[in-house]
Formats: sequence, C-alpha cells, structure tokens
Amino acid sequence: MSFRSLIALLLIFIAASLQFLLGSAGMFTDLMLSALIAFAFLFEWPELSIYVLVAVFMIDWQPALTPTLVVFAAIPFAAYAFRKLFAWAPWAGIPLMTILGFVAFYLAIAPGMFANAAPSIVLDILGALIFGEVTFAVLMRAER
Amino acid sequence: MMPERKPNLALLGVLACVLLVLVIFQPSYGWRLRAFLMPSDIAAGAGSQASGSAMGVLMAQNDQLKAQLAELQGIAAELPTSSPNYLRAMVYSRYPLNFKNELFVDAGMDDGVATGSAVVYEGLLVGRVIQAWPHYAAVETVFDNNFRLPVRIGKGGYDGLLTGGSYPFVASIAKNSPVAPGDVVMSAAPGVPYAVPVGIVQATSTSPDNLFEQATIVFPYDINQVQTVLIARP
Repeated sequence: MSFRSLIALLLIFIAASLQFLLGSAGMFTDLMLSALIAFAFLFEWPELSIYVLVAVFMIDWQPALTPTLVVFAAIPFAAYAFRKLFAWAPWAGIPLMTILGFVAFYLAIAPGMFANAAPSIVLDILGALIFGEVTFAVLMRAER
Repeated sequence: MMPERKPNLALLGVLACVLLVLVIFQPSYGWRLRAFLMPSDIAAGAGSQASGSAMGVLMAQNDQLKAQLAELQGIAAELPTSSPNYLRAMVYSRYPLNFKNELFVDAGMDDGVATGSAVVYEGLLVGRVIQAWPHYAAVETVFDNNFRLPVRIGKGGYDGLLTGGSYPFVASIAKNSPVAPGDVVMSAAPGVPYAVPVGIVQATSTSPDNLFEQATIVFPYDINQVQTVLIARP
C-alpha cells in the first residue's frame, strides 16, 4: 500500500469524523462523498472500489443496503467514468462532478428538498467543493 | 509494472471481499466505528482541560456520584424496566446524510415492535417506526421531511396536521381557531396512543394560501442527543 493510499484512507476517516460530528450538531454534510469524487480523478477503479466500500461500511446505518447507499456508492464510479471518457483536468473535473454528483444524489434520494431546503443543498455543495479540492491538493502533495 | 500490480489487485480483491462481507453481514462493526469517530460526550474533553483545583472538586463529586449510583442500582434492580405499554430501546445509529432524520434502534419484531408504532422520548412523541427487522427497527422522527401526523392543539383540541422537517410545524388548522403560543400539540392519529404530547406551539400565522392557520413548534429536547426511547406496543 502506497503512502498516497494511506493518506486517502486517512482523508476518508477525517471526512467521516467531520461529517458525523457536524451531523450530531444538526449540520448535515456529505464530505465523504466529495472525497470519493475527488478520489475518482486520482485512483484506478480497483482502489477506488476499496475506498467506496470503506465509506459505505462507515456510513451504512441499518442492516440492509438502502437505495441511498447504492446511489452513494454509484456516484464516485460515475465520476470515474467521466474522467475516462472526457479526460478533463482534475482541478476542473472534480468541481464539475461534485456539483453534478450532489445534484443527482439529491434528485435520486429526496427531490422534494430542492423545493423545501434549497439553501441547505447549496451549503452542502459549497462545503463539498471546498473539501473535494482540499482532498485533491493533499493527495497531489502526497504523490510527490 | 504488471508484476507489481498483480499482487496489489489480489490484495485489493481480498480487501473488497472482506469489506463487502462486513457491509452486508456485520454492519454493527460499522456502527461501532461511527460511534468511535463521533465522540458522544464532547463536554468530557472540555473537562480534561479544567484546572487542578477544579479537577479535585470534580473527582470528589465523581466519587459521591459513584456511591449514589451504586445505591440506586440496588433499587433499580427491584423496579420494572419499562411500562407494560412501552418497550425500551437504545438508539444505535442515525441517518448519516442530509435527506432524512431517522433513528435506528435495537428492538425489532421479535421484541414486539411493529411498523407504525409510536416512539416516545421523555414522554414526548418523537416519531414512528417505519421499518422493523427481527432485532432492529428504523424510526422516522418528527424532524424528517416525510413525517405527517394528525394532531390536536391545546385545551380546545383544535385539529391540525403535524408536518415534519428541520423546523416542524402544524398545518391545516381551521382559520380563526384560538390557538396560542404555549398550547400543547398532541397526537391524534390512529395507531398512535391518543394525546401523547409532541411539542409546544411557539407562534401562529396564516398559511401561504390564506385558507388555514399554521403553528411553529418548539421541542424541549435535542433529537441528536437522544440515546434511548420507548416504543409503544401494538
């Protein structure tokens, strides 16, 4: 396992800790998803699968795979497919896929939130954009 | 390059299998990991920074409390663990994302939990069971956007519809009903014990369509701090 892989695992744990801590204070974010979307631009699918499974393992909240989790797990692979198909630079591809991924996530799980809680969605996406770019920057440094 | 990737792929494959087995068959390890990552008592951290003298006082109080605890545990052994109409359950985990507000509890169908059962915390209705497994159940709380419950308000028993969300409110109250801040909002739905308090009216206003009144509610608890609940037996 490379140094970058260890950093990636550490980033998932940091994202999870922040997400759960903020959630316990009533501020729900999806930092793990934004980290996974950033990973999709840096890792190949076998390693990405491990990170997605680690995240699903931590985020799974009941003894059954829910549609939420399936969509959650599919979005990083959609970002990976985007990377392979269009070969955008990660600094541009990560924000674009973060926005598209989060909008798709909300549309798939709770479309009503766009009408009821649009500001909360915008804040969630802004937080995810920042965390995704930080994740990318940290992993690029770890590679050097 | 290839000879290096093969062992990596094998290792990743084994790791993926282990994680899949854990996700599907042993999710409780994931809940424990979450509990580890989310310290439940942040105040304990603040306490560790207390000055030396304050620490001495705290330690003395701790000893006193331990003595009281030992005394009360002896008494507690003699008491019934819960009401015959309710079943006590511990909260295992919470919905971790932004879309819902649900709890996951450690009592299920084998314990007598049924879908639709009312869930109560400190005498207040906090939600309803939406799905039950043999040993677990998922609870939709009043803070979930999908939560709806017919309620009555105040001494006059004015009808309304509790509408869940980050800021739950009572909708569809007949216009000119004398609902006032401080009135209690209580359950009035089939399948849920009658007149279980839900919260207190904070303010009233006219609905956007001008046809009804609506009322915002205050809750004397923080749903994120709820560790144990009572589930109504069917």
